[in-house]
Amino acid sequence: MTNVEDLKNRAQVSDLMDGRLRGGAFAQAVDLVNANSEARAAWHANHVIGDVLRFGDAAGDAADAQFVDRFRTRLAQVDAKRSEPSGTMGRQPRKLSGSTATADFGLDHHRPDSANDSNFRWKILAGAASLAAVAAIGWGVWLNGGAPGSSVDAGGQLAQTGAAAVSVAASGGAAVSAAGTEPQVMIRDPHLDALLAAHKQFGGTSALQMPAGFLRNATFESSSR
Amino acid sequence: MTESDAPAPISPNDSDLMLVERSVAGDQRAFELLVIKYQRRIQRLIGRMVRDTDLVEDIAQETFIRAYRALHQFRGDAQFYTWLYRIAVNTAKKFLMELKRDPTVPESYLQKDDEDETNSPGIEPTTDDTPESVYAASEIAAVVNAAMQALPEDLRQALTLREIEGLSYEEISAAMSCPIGTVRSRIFRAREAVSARIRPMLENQAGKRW
Repeated sequence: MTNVEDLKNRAQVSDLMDGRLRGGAFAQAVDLVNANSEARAAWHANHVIGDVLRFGDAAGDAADAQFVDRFRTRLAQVDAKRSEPSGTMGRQPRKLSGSTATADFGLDHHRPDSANDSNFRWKILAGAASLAAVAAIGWGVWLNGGAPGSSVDAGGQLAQTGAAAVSVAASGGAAVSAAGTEPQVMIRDPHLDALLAAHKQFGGTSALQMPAGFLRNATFESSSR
Repeated sequence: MTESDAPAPISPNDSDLMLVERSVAGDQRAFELLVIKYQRRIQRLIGRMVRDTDLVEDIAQETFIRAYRALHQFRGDAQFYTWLYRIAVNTAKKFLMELKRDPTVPESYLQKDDEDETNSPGIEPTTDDTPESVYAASEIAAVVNAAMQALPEDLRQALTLREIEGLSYEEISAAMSCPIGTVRSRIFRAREAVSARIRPMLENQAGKRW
């Protein structure tokens, strides 16, 4: 009885090899080859026969069972490695609907992480940091902007101080400039002015040999020269 | 549904496609049947590009791993083996490029980058093939050929048309002027006769049964 059953199984394997089975018969035969070592051995031997007839030798031959074992092990290792970083990366096997495997190729709708995802994460982080910095500066400007004597005004005044030509009062030492109607006070050490006035024959011109208004130098130029 | 119910001639390649569908649906064991079917051809192909036997197996393993991972991309427009073939060639080329960059790998590990399966009728033994494995392969081939010669003419012809010529049952039926059921029976009986001779050899050499 067992021999008859084995014979029947091997006939099924032969039909499976040649693509003669469909639907339920196909699924039944695949299950048989997966579950029954005798049927699996028949599947292997028949393919070795085919290879010998087509190519003249049986390359690989005897180590085929070990090859499949190693493949199974490696696949499990790869699966384990892929599932380590995130649990959703691997393609989840779907349950077969009975014996009728449909032609649905099961496209993977879960997009796995791309290799450069970490770069995008860094970009998002850098963007957020930049935004925070701009917001902090803006907040500071807004807070100080309305107050009199704020740092912004002081900066503007300093810039204007350089731009406005100042005539130096030789006696007082305090330079006064006009900005609008109000005279601006140029903060300058009176000792420096006195020194420059005493030695104006040396410091009358700049190294450029011409007046250079854009240079904030300490030359003392008087109308007498 | 068996052949008698089939409305149209069945291509033997449909079997591959259906196994792929089952594999994509999550049946890894179905893919293993494809591994058993094609591993020798893939190793033969890679063996012509790489000399080291261990490397050949590694690349073959990697080929099947990649194929399994990308299986959902196989649409069935081409034959499964054609698709697998490209993966194997690309995998082998990648390995070769890495090896060429590695100064510690001797040139003798690498072979000419010849991916054309039709160039060489048979695989040449690689340097690391043991005499035992070469002998075993040739012994199996000799036994298969002897068993084929011992078959009755109609069985031998049916199996030859199927395996070597790749004809479908319908085509063999027309060529041999016999019903498809008879073709099926002859092919099965021929396989049984030859398989009975080589299976003990395969089991002994493998040291492991399926």
